[in-house]
Amino acid sequence: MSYYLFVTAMRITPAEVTALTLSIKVALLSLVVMFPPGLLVGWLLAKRAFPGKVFLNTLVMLPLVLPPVVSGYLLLILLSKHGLIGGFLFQVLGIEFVFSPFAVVIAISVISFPLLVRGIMAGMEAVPVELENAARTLGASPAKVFFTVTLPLAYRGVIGGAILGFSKSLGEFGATIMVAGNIPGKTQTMALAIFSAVQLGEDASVYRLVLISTVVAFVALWLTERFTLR
Amino acid sequence: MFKAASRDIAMANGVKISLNFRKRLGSFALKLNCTLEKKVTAFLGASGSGKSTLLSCISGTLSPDEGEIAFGDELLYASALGIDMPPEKRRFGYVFQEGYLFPHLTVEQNIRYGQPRYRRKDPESTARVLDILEISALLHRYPKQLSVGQRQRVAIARALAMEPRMLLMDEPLASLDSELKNRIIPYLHHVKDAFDVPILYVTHAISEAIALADEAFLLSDGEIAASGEPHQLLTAPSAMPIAQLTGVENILSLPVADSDKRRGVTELEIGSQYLVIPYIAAAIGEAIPTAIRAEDIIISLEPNLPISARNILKGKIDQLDAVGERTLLSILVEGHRLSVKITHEARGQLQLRRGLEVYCVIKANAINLLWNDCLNQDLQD
Repeated sequence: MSYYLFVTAMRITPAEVTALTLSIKVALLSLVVMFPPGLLVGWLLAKRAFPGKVFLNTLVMLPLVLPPVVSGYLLLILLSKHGLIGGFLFQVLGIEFVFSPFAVVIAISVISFPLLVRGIMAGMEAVPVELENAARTLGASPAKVFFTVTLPLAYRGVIGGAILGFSKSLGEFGATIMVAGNIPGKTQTMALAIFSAVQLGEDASVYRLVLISTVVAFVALWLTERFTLR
Repeated sequence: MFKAASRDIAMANGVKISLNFRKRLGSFALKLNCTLEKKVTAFLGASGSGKSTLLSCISGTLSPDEGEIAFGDELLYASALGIDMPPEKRRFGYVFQEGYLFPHLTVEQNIRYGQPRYRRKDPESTARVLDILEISALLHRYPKQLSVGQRQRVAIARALAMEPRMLLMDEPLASLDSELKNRIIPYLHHVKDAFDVPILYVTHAISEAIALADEAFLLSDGEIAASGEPHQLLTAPSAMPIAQLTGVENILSLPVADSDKRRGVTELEIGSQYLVIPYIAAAIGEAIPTAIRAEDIIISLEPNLPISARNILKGKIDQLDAVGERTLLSILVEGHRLSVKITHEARGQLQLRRGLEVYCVIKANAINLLWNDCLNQDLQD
């Protein structure tokens, strides 16, 4: 029985491959797009004092505690043809985001952003301000201090946050299904494919996808720990 | 009395630095109004007296609340005119107490970090700095591979390599033990002599101020309590309250009785008794200023102890004061007054009282020499 399970588990179907590659593509795209703003926001929250800091922090971290379905629903309202952002884009550029692969990217970006920022913040908070001040007195502009002192010394937290955010993106479900739907080959990621397979009673497919998800998550977490723990 | 005092040392290229500002931090307020005109100026004060705030304001990493800071004719900070030059434009080399070397960069990269761009391609440009601080052999190491003393030398080199208009030193020796201190001070003297750059030196150690500075300011509760020539200022009885806060040091100026290069020792006269120190090239009869911390003296009731310390001075207790957790003894050794800090427990056990005859035991390396010329001599040997 278990041997049979193992063999079926390895016979991955083209549809499953499509779901897996879509998941990886959108997660990577999300990481590339969100990394620069993540650095900026992480740096602002870790190193700067400004009015509205608590508000910004709360706003960024909100998706961490909000049910993903709620985040997804809010995004749906904003991005739909009649929504605030979606309406504008539809009228100016004629693009509709909702139920497209880009909607997946937006959904997973919003959900994973807090994890990315938290990692970056933790890394940057650990860099002593005295080292940055020392660099300033040595003639470095704030930008040079950031790239030559803060960022290199915060790299563990930065990489940890990136990997954690990426893994979260890979497995995101609730927000994605709200904004992007569950369209095989177009917006159906791994998590959504598992959901569909369970609903349709395709056990073998469920096993395969669950195994792959678990391995990917394990490796990502292991990498995170390697980079963040000494 | 000794040479540094008699030489009139004007500030490098005659630049004056005027500090006239206020900065409030919580319940603490720093209020300064002074002009620095000498090459090396020391600010002396206990922790919490505002020393670090002072340097942060001058370096530009902290903005004062109001007032003016000027380097020569150039205003670095002026609240009335809305001027607050950022630290990277001020070109003040800052040496921190903990060094704060960049841990991810090698010694060489640390030193080159602040170097002006036009110097970067020139490998010879740092040669003098590396030479004087003797760190040429350490260039490819990382800060964590350095000893504490080496780290501090690299920190000084890093500040010098940026070709600063002024050096700000924040207790650069405080994290070192007294033996290491005695080894770094000559480097500071060399820096002082070799570079035409004014130094603002902040410390809580009277001995460092006397050894290095041409002028000293006493800081107390964020304000200047007194100023003047360091030796006169800091050995005056009026400095005692400050001294008690900063850690009492005995400053004694003692004539050389004998100096024997072969045995490697020099003997200083203290009345009819002698203090033995490591050899220095000094003429017999020359007065050598020394500093001994009150904590570094051990009190014994007997003269002949089976211990290694060679300096055992006979004296009489003149006064006993409770200062916080400790008892401060004032002991007269043939007219010289020695302050000694011991625990209340020791005071009780030894039944110390006024008029009692005691023996002060002093380790040779607890005696800090403040004599500039002999320190330079040491380095050349």
